[in-house]
Formats: sequence, structure tokens, C-alpha cells
Amino acid sequence: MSFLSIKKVLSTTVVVLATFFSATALSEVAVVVHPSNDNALTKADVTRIFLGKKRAYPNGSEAIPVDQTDGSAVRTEFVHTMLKKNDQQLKAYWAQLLFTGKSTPPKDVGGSAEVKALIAKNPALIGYIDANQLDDSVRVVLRF
Amino acid sequence: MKRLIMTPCLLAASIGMGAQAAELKLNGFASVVAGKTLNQGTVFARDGLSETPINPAVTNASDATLMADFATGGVYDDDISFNPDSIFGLQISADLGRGLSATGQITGSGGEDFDATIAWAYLSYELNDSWTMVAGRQRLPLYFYSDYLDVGYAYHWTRAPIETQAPIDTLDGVQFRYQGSLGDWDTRLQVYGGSGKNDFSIISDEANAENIVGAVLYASNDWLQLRATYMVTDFYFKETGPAFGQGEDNAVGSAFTGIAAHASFGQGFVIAEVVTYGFDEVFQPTGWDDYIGGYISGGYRLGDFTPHITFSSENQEIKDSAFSMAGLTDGDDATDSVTVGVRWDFHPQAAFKLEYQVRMDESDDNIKAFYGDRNEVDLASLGFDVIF
Repeated sequence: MSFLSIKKVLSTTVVVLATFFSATALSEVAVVVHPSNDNALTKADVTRIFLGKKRAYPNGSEAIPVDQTDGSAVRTEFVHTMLKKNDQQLKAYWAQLLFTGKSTPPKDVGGSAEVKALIAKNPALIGYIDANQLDDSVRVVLRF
Repeated sequence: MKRLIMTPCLLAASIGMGAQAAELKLNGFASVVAGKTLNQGTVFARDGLSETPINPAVTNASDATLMADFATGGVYDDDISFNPDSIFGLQISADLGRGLSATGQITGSGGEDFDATIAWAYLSYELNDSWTMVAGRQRLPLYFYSDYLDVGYAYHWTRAPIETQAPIDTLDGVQFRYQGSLGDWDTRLQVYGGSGKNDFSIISDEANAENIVGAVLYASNDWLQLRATYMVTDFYFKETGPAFGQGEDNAVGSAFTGIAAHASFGQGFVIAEVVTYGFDEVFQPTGWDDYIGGYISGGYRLGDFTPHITFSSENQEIKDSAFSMAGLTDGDDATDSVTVGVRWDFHPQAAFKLEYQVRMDESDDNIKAFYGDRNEVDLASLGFDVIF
């Protein structure tokens, strides 16, 4: 009996979560770099850079990831789809690295407009923005 | 997590134009945990440390104590206590640019009356894209959870299993860390050396480890993390050691090994770890010989709730402990523990935890004949963990 009720709770949870995510679904998210940065990046490269596991692009130049503000829809989408974590898991992950001197989380620099403006000025940076806001000032490496 | 940026103008400048000046970051963590034992019995496999082991039967008949934090000596009894697992930590870090940073972390733990301790204080320098050198005071990376044992928010338990706690948890020395990747795997190698010490309030002594040399090999992919480690050191107790020819000049060589695996399956996870340590000769005054300990733990996320269960076990071989003047012969001092609990992520930077732990005496007849049957001890605890 209790097993049945657990199943019920689970299926309800799944439905609720599915509704939530479809309601907040975005157009598209683009991972972007400076136009002069011609590195080809795989999904794994991007994930490693944003999880502090890699600090250089494939050509050896320094890679500095920047985050959007905590709680922004684009960031949530990026964390779920690209980093395959939920917000709490990501916070626990960074707590492990931060308080043990292994790495520090990317800086929060604002929304898509701020990320784009910073990246347009600095070839080391990599970020993600709402695909609707793309223009020539940045180069797209991935879209999802 | 939200970082308190002390120099916001410099932050903007450093991203736009390259770092020009030190950027200071302040982060912190705190755990406030209350716990209480619920029945009689007092069990701990490294029990050579009991305050009055010479007449333990009397102690154990009336007490209900549970050792929660080995390094700080945090012990619960049948009065509600906030001390054994509560801890506050503050970290300040200065990024000096070009891969150089200085970090200090001050902690105060309830097991030590919240006396401020410098837990970490190091310079970190990125030698190249893969290698980092860390010099100064840092955590001795013995166990899977060692590095962030103090940061309750980073794991599911109220406290990590006692089986993952060593008498010395700090390294004053140098560490070289390599980070790389192999196909889908991320790899990390840590090689370190130095010394460490820790006040042992339970027996009013100081544990010392010198000539520490160790290595950690870690690999992870999407769902699996694997870790193996080995360390050797010369170990002694400062006050009582010399009486047994085991003082600073005659420290006992010891070796530590550990393996761990952590697997994630969708919303579920399982972690298991086994460690051993041994000594070149019996370690006095506690009579420690070979030790083996380990645990397996699993949990499942249901929205903001993560119920979990852990089975753990440890076995400390005791040989003629100098504390055991009443005639303890060789024996296996052993415990099994079961922990069930739930973590509730009620806030983006805070978790609430409820936990119930049973620790049972599994010692052999020799140990039981000496200490008496220590039965089992049950502990209920609840706590909050925050990071900021």
C-alpha cells in the first residue's frame, strides 16, 4: 500500500515538474565567445570550462567562464541542459570546490545583454545568452 | 552561490581589462546541529580513547554517548547538545592574478567550544593549464569527504560517517594537483607532503603526524566518480608517546589506503568507501594495530527532499593498549552502524536535515570481556547547513 502511494507521489511529482519546465521553456540558449576566438568547442569542453575542470581553450589560451545572475531563466536552462545538474546540486558542487581551494565558481555578471557586452570586449571569456539577442559582436559555439 | 564581492568596481575592471589588483572574496558556511542519544550504551571502535577505559564497565552501564566528530572530540550524550556537530567557517580569498591566489579559512567547531582555528591558509599557484601548486595549511585528503567534511551543505548527512574521520585532519605542507581529461573522463592527481597535528581533548594529548607523503587519484564522468589514495606518515602522541618509546624521536610508521566510488542514477546516488590503516608496531597508548572501516550509502531525490540510508562498519585491532592496565589482551574492537535520514533543500543556500543513527557493538569476546557488552547507542539529530 505504501509502495503504491510512493508511486503516486512520484508520478505526481513528474507531472508537476514537466508542467513547470514546459511553462518556462525558452526560445534557445547560445553559448558564445569573442569573434576572434576560433576554437571549436564540444559540449564536453563547455561543460568542463563551466565546472572548473578546464581553464584553457583547445588552442591553449586562457578560458574564463561567466555566469548569468542566479535565478535567471537562461541560467537555469543552461545548468539543467548543459551541466546536467539542478541548482542545488550545482551549489553543493561549488561548495565542495570553493571551500577546498580547488576552484571558484564563474562570476555572475548579469543578464544576456551584460554577458554579451563583456564577451565582445574580452577574447578569454565564454558565456551563454538568449539566442534572440545574438548579433555580430559575439560568435556562437553551441546552441541548444 | 552568492559571493560577497568586497571590491565591485575592481571586479568589473578585472573582467573587462585583466586583473589589475587583488580581488577579495568572502565566503562562509555554517552548520547548527542538535542531537541526543536515546538509550544506554556507548560504542566507538577506537575506544582506547574513552576517558576512563580502566573501568569502562561502570562508564558504559550508565552512559549513552556517541562519538560524532573524531578530530574535534565531539560526543553526544542523553542531554540535547548543539556542540558536537555545529561549526562555523569563514573563508577569505585574494585573487592576485596570473594564477596566484591566497586563501584563509577560519573555523570554530562546537566540539572545541567554538575556539577559532585556522583550518586552511595557503597560497595557490597555477603552474600551467593542468598543474596547480598549493602551499600552506590545508585538509589532509585522506577520505572522499575529507576536504569538505566541515561543509555540511556539500553532502547529504548531518555528519559524515565516523569511519571517514581520522585523528589528524590537517596538513601543513605542499600539494601538487594535476587536472586533466581522458576521453569522457575527467582526472585529477594530487601528490602532497608535509606534517600535521591535532589536539586530542579526550585524552589531553596532541596527535602528531610527520613526514607525510601521499597521493590521490580521482576520475569522474557523467555518472561515476572513482577515487584511490595512499599515504604514509610517522605518527605519535606528544605527551603519552615517549613513555612507550614512541615519542617524537621514535614515531611509529603507518600507512593509509582508501578506495571510493560514487555513482549517480538520475535522481538516485550510491557511494561506497573502504579504508585501512596499519602501523609498523602497535601504536600506544591506544593499542591500535590494523584498522579497516567503510560504508555504503544511498539516497534518492524527491523534489526538495532526499531520503537516504547508510550502513557502515569499522574494526580496530587492539593489542595490549597501555590504557588497558586491567588486562586487556588482543581483540577486535568493532562497530556496525545504520543511519537513516532526510535532507530537505528548503532554501537555495540552506538545507535542513533530520537523522537517526544506531551504532552497535560488534567487538569480539576479548574486548567484551574487558569493556563489558556496550550494546548499542541510538542518536537522533536535526540540523541546518548554510553556505554564503
